[in-house]
Amino acid sequence: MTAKMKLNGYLRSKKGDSAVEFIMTAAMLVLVFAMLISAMIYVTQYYSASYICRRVVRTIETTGEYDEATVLALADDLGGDALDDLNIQVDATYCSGTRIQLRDEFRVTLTAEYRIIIMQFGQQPIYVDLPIQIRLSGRSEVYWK
Amino acid sequence: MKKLLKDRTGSASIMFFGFLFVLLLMTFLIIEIGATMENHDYAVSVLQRACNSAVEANIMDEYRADGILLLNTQGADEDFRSFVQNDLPSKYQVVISSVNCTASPPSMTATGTITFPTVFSQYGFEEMTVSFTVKSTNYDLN
Repeated sequence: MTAKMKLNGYLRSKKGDSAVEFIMTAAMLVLVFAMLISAMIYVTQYYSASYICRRVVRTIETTGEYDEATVLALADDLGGDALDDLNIQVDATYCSGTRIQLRDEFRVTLTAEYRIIIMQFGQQPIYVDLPIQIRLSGRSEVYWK
Repeated sequence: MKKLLKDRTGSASIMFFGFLFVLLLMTFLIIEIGATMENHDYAVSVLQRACNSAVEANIMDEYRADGILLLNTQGADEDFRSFVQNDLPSKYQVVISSVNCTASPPSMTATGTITFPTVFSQYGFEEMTVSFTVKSTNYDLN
């Protein structure tokens, strides 16, 4: 009976309500902050992928030809190896071999994934794979005779 | 009303929403600044491409065979304007203030301004206007 009365007293007491409110608010704030940071990292990765794609397009434009090995090396140099499943596809009409004629249009599609790990229990993390897809087009700046 | 204003209950919640608002605003601003820079870079790269292509397309081949590089300056000027008009999407407004070409060495310098909308334009703010200068010189004898 005494224990029940004590419990009732504790539950009705208003002492420390600000502290409880602060802890709950702080927990929510930390959660929202973590979500925003994850979103910001994703946006940063997206811009990074977009930059790689633009550089690939400019390289093909200025050289007037698509060399797969050069493009992949350039993507790796620019930090593309930090992205999961990075794939670069180039669609173009070639005038000879891998050469693209002056002012002919080509399309570059870059696809990758960014993994956000939500929680990790032992060896098995719970994660979300967010897709990154950038499509850009360019035109050759080289006249091939 | 006075009592309500003096009541300190829920101050932490108000602080929480204040922080949240500032955080969201900062995130939104960072994303928008990134998008604006990307739009600017894209427009400048299209202008540079138009400049390079106009010079490349207007080098007179009959002289190049003899190791002389000569540019058809009028053709290069016309091509530059045409390439810019065709290649830039309609959201960009380009004002070309000058195009200077030299026949030998084949080169072109173009200046002007680019205007494009940002997310704030829909709320009555002015569109972003930036000036540009693109240059191209071609020494390729092949």
